[in-house]
Amino acid sequence: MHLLHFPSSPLPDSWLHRVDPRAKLLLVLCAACPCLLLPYRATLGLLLLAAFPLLVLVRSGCPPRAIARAWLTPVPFVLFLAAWHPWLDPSPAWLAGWPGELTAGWVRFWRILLSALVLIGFLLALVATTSAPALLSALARLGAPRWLVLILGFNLRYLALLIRRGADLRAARALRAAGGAPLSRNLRLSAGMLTQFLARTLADSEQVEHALTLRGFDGRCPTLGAGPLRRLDFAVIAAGLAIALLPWAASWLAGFAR
Amino acid sequence: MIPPRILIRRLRFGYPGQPELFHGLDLDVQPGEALGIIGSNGCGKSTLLCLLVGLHDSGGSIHFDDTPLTPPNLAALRRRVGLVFQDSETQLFMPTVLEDVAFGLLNQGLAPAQAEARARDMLRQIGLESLADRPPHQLSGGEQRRAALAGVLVMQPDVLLLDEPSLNLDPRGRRQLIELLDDLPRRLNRPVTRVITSHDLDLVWDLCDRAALLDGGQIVASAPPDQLLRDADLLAAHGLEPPLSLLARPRILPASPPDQEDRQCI
Repeated sequence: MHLLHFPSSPLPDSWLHRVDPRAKLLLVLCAACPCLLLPYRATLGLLLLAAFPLLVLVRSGCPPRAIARAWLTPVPFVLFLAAWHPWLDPSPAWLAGWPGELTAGWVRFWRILLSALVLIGFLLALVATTSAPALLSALARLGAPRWLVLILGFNLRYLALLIRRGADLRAARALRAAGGAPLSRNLRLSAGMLTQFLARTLADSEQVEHALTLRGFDGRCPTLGAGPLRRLDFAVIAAGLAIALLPWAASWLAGFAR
Repeated sequence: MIPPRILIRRLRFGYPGQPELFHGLDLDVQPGEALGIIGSNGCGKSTLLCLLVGLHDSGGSIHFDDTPLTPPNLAALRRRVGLVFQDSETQLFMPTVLEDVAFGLLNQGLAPAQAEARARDMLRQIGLESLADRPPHQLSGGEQRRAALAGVLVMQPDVLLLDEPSLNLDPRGRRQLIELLDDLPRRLNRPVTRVITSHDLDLVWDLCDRAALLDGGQIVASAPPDQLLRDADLLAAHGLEPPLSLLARPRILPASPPDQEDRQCI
């Protein structure tokens, strides 16, 4: 199961899909470092980072339109968070690579926007080229708490179950709907359906708990192991480190040029 | 290991707020026996299986040989008794089929490499090898059922409880299931007790050494399938009908000799 599903195309299989998920996770962590640690004046260096996930997604065979849609979907929320800053801090500031003067508020605005775009891009590249089980396994192997991996895994599985139950209920209602009903009746029906849905959810969760218990679940969740990292995986990690250093190098050069 | 003899005595159980489902049910299951429990809807077939693995508190007693089904013994007994639910979808909870099948083995303390090898072998035996890395929700109903069965069989239980095992299976899948379950003792190289609840009377006919008719919270009749399932009056009296297909054909599998002393109509 891929978290990011591109229904319009068959599941691609590129060299990036075959990179060990641990290496890809580490690469994303590397990319997150400049987003968090880069000095504000070097914010434009993040533009260089944004190019990488885009390149990776296109090269790995994911459809560009679907990528753009997935990438831009969260932008309104990010803009909502960032848009206040230019008004909150009008003090003058300097941004490496920017032609002219800016206020500190605008620097913060660009920082939030670019950081979000870079992080979303890298996460997108990760989930588009890695299956959810592989990702969970990589998290466990990299030392993420077992309970976290377990909860994420069960939620992923349970979510699919809930979606199916919900879709069944909706379909059953739609198939027996006799034209347009008044709003009050629709609301009553929806409330009844929700109650049914919750009741079924409870019954399902009880069944899942029984299935767990009967196969010896005691709170721990040992998982099947993965193989050792290969040369390609190490190369990806090294590339991640290099990418992480790139914005610092660019800002240093921009500062030097000034 | 020889599977335990299951002795159920004066079993009492009722869901909260509902009338009592079992009031003093008695049943014996012999080691290695394939017992089919039949009965009309709501007579408590699935509940009986749940009680056999201690999923609900009940009155009376359930013994596996001399070991009573009590909270201190639950964990040990559940290692020997496997239950395949009627709704396989809720039984598969891990992200992939392979991980789900390996789940029980890993909980038993097996090394991941060993667990994976055994899980893959079981998937191969059950014809799901190519689906090992697929998430369970992407499988068809029949594939989910076989994956759930694999997850239980891989733990090599002495007693296998199957709740409506042929549900959602197409004719070919159903035939493969019958062959797999019948062949199980040979595959595992030891006897396996099988308790099967089903509305699929053909399956009970083909697979079971004995059929038990459950109604009104009691086992009202117990006999070899070709005897019990031909008794139209008895079946009709308890809300069932003998399938015409049974009357017109012999069993797919050869019948076991009726050597158990308790195989008679009550």
